[in-house]
Amino acid sequence: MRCREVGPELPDFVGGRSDEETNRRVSGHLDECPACTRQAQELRALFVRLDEREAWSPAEAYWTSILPRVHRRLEENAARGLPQWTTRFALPVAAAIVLAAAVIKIAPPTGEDYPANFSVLLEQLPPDELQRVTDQQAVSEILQPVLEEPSATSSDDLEDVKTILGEDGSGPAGTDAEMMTGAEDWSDQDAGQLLPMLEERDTSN
Amino acid sequence: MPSRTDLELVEAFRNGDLTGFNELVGRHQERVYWIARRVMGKHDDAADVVQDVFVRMFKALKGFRGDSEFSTWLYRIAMNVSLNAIRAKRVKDFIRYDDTIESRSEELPDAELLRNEYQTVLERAIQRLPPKQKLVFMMRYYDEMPYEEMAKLLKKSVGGLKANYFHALKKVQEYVRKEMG
Repeated sequence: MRCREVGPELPDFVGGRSDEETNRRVSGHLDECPACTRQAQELRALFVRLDEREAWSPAEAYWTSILPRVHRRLEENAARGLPQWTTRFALPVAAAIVLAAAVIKIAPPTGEDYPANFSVLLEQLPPDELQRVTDQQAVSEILQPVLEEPSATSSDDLEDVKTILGEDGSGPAGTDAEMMTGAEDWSDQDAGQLLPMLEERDTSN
Repeated sequence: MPSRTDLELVEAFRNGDLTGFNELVGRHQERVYWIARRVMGKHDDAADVVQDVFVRMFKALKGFRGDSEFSTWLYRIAMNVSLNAIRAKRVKDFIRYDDTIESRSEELPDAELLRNEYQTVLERAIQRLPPKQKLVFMMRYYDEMPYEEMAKLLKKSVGGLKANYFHALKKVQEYVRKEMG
C-alpha cells in the first residue's frame, strides 16, 4: 500500500472503524513508514481532543424544555402575523376583490346601485358572511384543518400551507428534498454541489 | 400501546393531531441537538438552532411524502439550518473567541487555561472548514455514518468521501498546530 492510499484509510484505522482486511494492510504499511505512523499518532491525539469537545451534555431540564420552547416560537411567529380570521379568509377576500373588480370593469354600475367602496365593505363583513359571499368553500375546506392548528395562523404560515398543500390540496409538485428549508441561503458553491437536493427552491418560507 | 412509527406520527399530525408533532420532536430532539451543537460549537447557539429546526419541521411536515426516511429528511433540515446559522455567526464568533480567551485568562490556572485555549482553537479550526468538508467530517466523525449512506445522501463516491474526511482532519490539525505553536 502506498502512502497516498493509506492516508484516506487512516482516520478509520485510528478510530477503530476499519474492517479486518484494511487494518491488516494499513498496519503493514505503518510498520515501514515513519511519516504515516506520525500522521496516525497525530490523528489519535486529535481524536482525544475532539471527544473532549463532546464532554459537556445539557442537563435533563434542557431536554424537557425543548418542546415548550418550540411551541412558544410557533406562537410568536403566529402572533407576528395577522389576526386568525384575516388569514383564514385571506384567500376568499382576495378572490372576492378580484371578482368584484372584474364585474365592475365588465359592467360598470351606475348611480345608486354601485357602492364606491365595495372592496372596503367586503373586508368589513363578518367572517361567516364573507365566507358565504365569496363562495370559496372548496379552498376553505382545504385550509381549515391546518389553520385551526394553534400555531399555523400567521400570514407566513398561510403561505406555507398554500405551498405545502397546493391550491387544490393535493400537495406540491416535487419531492421531499424540495421541502428542505434554508436552501436558498446556502450560496456556497461547494456545499451546493455536495448536497444537490438542498439546492432546490425553499418552499417553506 | 406500541409506539407509533415516524410515518404514523407524520400522518397523525397531518390529520390535525398535534401529539404527532410533539412525539416527533421528543423522539428526534437529541439527535438534532447534537447535529446543531457540533456545527455551532456552543450550547446556546445550538439551542437556538434546535428551535429553528423544529419550527421549520412544523411548517414543512405537511409536504413530507416519505420519499426518504423521516430521520434522513430531518437530518438534512438540521444540517442545513445549522450550516446557515454558523455562516451567519461566523464573523461574530471569531471576535467572541478572542474575547473569551482574554476574559478568562485572569481567572483560570495555567493547565485549565491551556486546555480551554486548545478547545477554542480546535473549535475555530472546525468552523473554518469549507462547508463541504465540514459536513463530511460531522457525518463521519460524530454521527459515525457509514460511507455508503453518506455517498447516497451526498451523491459522492465512497473513495472521494474518505479522501475528503482525511483532508478535513488534516486541515484541522494544521490549523491547531499553527495557532498553538
